[in-house]
Amino acid sequence: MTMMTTKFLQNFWTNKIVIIFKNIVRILSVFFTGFLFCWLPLLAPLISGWLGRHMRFAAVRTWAASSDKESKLIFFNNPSHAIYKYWPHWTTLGSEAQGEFIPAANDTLIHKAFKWLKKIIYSLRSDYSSGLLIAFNVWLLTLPLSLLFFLGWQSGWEVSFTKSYEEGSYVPLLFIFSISFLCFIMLYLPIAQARQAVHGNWKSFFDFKTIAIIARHVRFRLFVLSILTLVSSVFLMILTKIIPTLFEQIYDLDIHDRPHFNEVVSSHFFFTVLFFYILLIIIKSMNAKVYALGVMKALASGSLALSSLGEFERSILIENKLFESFQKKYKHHPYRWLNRLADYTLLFATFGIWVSFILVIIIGQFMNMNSQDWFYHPLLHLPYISISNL
Amino acid sequence: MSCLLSRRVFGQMLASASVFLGGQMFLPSACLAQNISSSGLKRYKGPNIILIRYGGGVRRRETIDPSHSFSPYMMNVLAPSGTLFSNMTIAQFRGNETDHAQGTINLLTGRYKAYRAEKKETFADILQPTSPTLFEYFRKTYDIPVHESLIINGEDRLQDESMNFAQHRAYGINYRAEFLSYSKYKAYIIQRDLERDDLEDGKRDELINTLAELQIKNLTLPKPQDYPRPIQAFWEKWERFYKDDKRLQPRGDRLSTEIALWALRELQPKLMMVNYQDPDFVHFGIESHYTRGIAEIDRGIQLIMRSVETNPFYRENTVVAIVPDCGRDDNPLMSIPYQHHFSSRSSHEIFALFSGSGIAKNKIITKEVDQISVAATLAKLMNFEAPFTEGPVLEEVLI
Repeated sequence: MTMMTTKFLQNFWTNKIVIIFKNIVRILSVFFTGFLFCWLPLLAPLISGWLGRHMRFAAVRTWAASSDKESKLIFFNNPSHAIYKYWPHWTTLGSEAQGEFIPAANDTLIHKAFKWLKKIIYSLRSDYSSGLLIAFNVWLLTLPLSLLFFLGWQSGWEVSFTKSYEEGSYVPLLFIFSISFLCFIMLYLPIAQARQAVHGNWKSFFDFKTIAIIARHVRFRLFVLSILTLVSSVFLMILTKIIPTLFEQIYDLDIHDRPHFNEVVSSHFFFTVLFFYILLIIIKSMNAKVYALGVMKALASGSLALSSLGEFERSILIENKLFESFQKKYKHHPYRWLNRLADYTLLFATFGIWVSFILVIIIGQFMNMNSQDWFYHPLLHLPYISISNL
Repeated sequence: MSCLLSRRVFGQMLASASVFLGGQMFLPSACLAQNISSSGLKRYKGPNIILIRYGGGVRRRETIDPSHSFSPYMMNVLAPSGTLFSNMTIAQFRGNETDHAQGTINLLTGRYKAYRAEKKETFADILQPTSPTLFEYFRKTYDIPVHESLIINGEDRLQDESMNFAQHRAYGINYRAEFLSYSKYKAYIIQRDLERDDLEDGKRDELINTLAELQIKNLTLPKPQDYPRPIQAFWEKWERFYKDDKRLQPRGDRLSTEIALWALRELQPKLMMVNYQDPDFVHFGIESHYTRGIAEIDRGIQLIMRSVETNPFYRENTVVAIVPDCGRDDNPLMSIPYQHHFSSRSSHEIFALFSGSGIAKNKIITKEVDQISVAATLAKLMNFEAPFTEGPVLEEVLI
């Protein structure tokens, strides 16, 4: 009896440890591969693409977690759904594309290696192009206003410098206009980005009406998400703008001693990029969860038609019956007017948070100006932190 | 034949002699011997001093480095005719800030941290010296009316207009310098207009509001009648020329140059400081504001020197001293490395150039000297005691 128990425990622990160990290795390998891609702007779209898949997986996990235990179990017991339990691997493709690259039993070693290489290239290419499309869509919305923002800043200080009193009144208007519209875009952006990632289709980013409906059902969560983004942007501003400005004083460095200076700079930016990458994964995971919940709530309330769902969403939510159990436990709010009041209040509060987000950019520019920072934010566009060329 | 010494001419001579001799009778005989004025103070004969704050904070690289300088007049004309201290620094110790007001007070008092905040403002405290300024020493030693000791200030730093005297028992407001600036002019004409009875209510309110805005950053805004007559005449003349319209006047540091040129012509100050400021706009990230600002100061120095050379009152009896208030950063991690608030090594690195009567020519001193030595050196050149200054005199400037 004792022997059996010991053997059982031994097996149990061994298996458990192996599984945990394998998971840790898997997560670390995925994590650090992404971390390597953070260092070059040309590689940044790879992370965006991978994060898109990560958001898709996170959304699926949220849908499963929101349904009842039984549906969740059935869902994950399906072998083609097992991949959604974990972070997507860099070489993991959509389940539909996997078969082509699975080595056959009679394949030679060279053939197997070739297929494996092909799989990696295919996967990276797919991540790269979807990453570029994510960045492109965000730029499409933000670039015109960023340009106005940039012009407002440039012309504003030009007016101040040259004392062009005659033009003085235009500049504040330009600035207020661009900041306000950028904040409106920020209200839209999280759900739109998540929708594009989950659908795997760039056009989904522009489903304005559907996105507005989904956002209305997760106002509080979007408010919390905006706070998380704001706090992250403050940390990033400190790490990438303020500390580099005060580098000499903080580390008591002689900037003319370049080897030592570069050593300290490299170490600072290593941890900055690491911190940024962790923040980005947290934000994107939360963003995907907010979107996933928003879709379910909007469906359950009847505000969102089934036809508005993407093919992937329909297959996961409807065909796998994850939505069915959610709908059963969903409660409609009894006081519509109260709901509406809370809706507007949260919308207003979130708008305020995004104003602060823009102000953080402005403060960063006051401290340590860099023209490209008007057009690009590592948390929104491409996950790349610019490091000065030393 | 008429008499050469007519009765009329004789009468005139007699009157002149009696006025001359009568006047002398009431003066102590020592005054005549030592050239002392009726106030008991010595008369000042020179050299006249023009102290130029190469302001807004500038680095050595863009000013005195021959291969990168944006200041061609200073480097090619003025420096060869004077003594350049290429390694002047602002001492580095805890709390010694590298900022415009602080740097100006270092220059004026010859001491570090000789100030206190008289009024707290969000981005700029109003500082007042706690140690006597050069102007106070000067006016306490010599018989100098206030309109002959001037500070010219720009449009952007009204908070600096409280540095014309120190909170000091033995010196203070009676020995102050007079500020000439756009804000002083504006306050002068507003207060004068407010005394008119025929002012419309709307206009009156507008003037009161504008005056209140000026008062926020200005500790002292005297009534028009409290200004000395020459200053009143100066602003009246300025108004006739430029009206009450900012757009007619030169702008930015050009305005400071213009006021300085008018002052040299109309008031003939014996000690004048010109506070330039434009390069500081680079804080906000437009690099050309820095280089254009420096070039504008260089042009201003050229115009002032031309005025000195063509004015008999100043020619061969004037020394010009050019010193920045602070340096700027040189940080390779910043795309626009021109901040100065954070006490980087480069923000402590400045220079000084002395040129004019009695100054050694074509000398470059590379040894490290201190910003607070400027006040002691000017005191020595003007031959007055400045007991509270701390910096050693820069003996190298003297021939």
